[in-house]
Amino acid sequence: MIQRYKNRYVLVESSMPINTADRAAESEIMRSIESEMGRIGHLQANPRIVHQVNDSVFIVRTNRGYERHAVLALAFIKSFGGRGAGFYTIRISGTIRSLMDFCRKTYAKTAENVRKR
Amino acid sequence: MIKVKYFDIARFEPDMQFLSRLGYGKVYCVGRDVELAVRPGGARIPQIVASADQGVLFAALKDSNVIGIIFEGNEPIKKVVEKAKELGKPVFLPINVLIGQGQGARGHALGRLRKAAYACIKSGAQARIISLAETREQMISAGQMTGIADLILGQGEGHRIFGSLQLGAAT
Repeated sequence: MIQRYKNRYVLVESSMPINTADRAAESEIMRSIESEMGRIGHLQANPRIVHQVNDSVFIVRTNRGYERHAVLALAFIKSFGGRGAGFYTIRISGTIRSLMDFCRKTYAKTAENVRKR
Repeated sequence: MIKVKYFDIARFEPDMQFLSRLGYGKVYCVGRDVELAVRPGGARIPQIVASADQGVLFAALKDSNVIGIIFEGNEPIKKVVEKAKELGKPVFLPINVLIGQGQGARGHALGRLRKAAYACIKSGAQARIISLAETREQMISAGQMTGIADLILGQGEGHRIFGSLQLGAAT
């Protein structure tokens, strides 16, 4: 039987503009998450940045059942690029589509700039 | 009586749009909505008294202008917790000691928060976690607060220390 992997998507807002298309920025966020979750927790949750909604909002995909770990890890990250930063989880959903609908309502002006990575 | 669903107390004035995105019903601002004091009295706005002294905390609980207390260093005093329960005033647990700390210090702070939270729950007093964030960066969302509440009390038990708050006639 072929098993389908289910994911959860977390909408994250940062206190500063972050370009997640930049590999260095993305890997710094991932390193910070791994440092908070530990190697095993990171492997279980397998967080990945899958979409950037606007300058400071992006979507993180995690394995279902471990999304709370990722949310907590993001709460404890308080620096980015040598400066103070905050990562706020706005919403958790099972589909990107529902998060994008939420984004269109919440970040109406910037939702037009959605780009798929 | 005022009932607020998801609330927080911060040391700065965040904008309302930002707070609604974070999922809070209300964020009280220290200096504008409430005053953080080391002893009761002498304030026009409602006070929250933070102290490790039993006498000061007893006096604070009896003061009608005091809406809640904080145990300095998160070391609970059993008699004070029982008095807080009797008078229906909440014990606030600041989680800024957890956020922005190194992993060693965080473990120690988590242990003390857990001890204080259990002391309140055991005696039936209201315990509520607050961020006391000084800047926008130190804020966390309501979802993250729920996660931290679960971290303190165990999975699925976080609602006991994060959720609705009932403030008495003082506000």
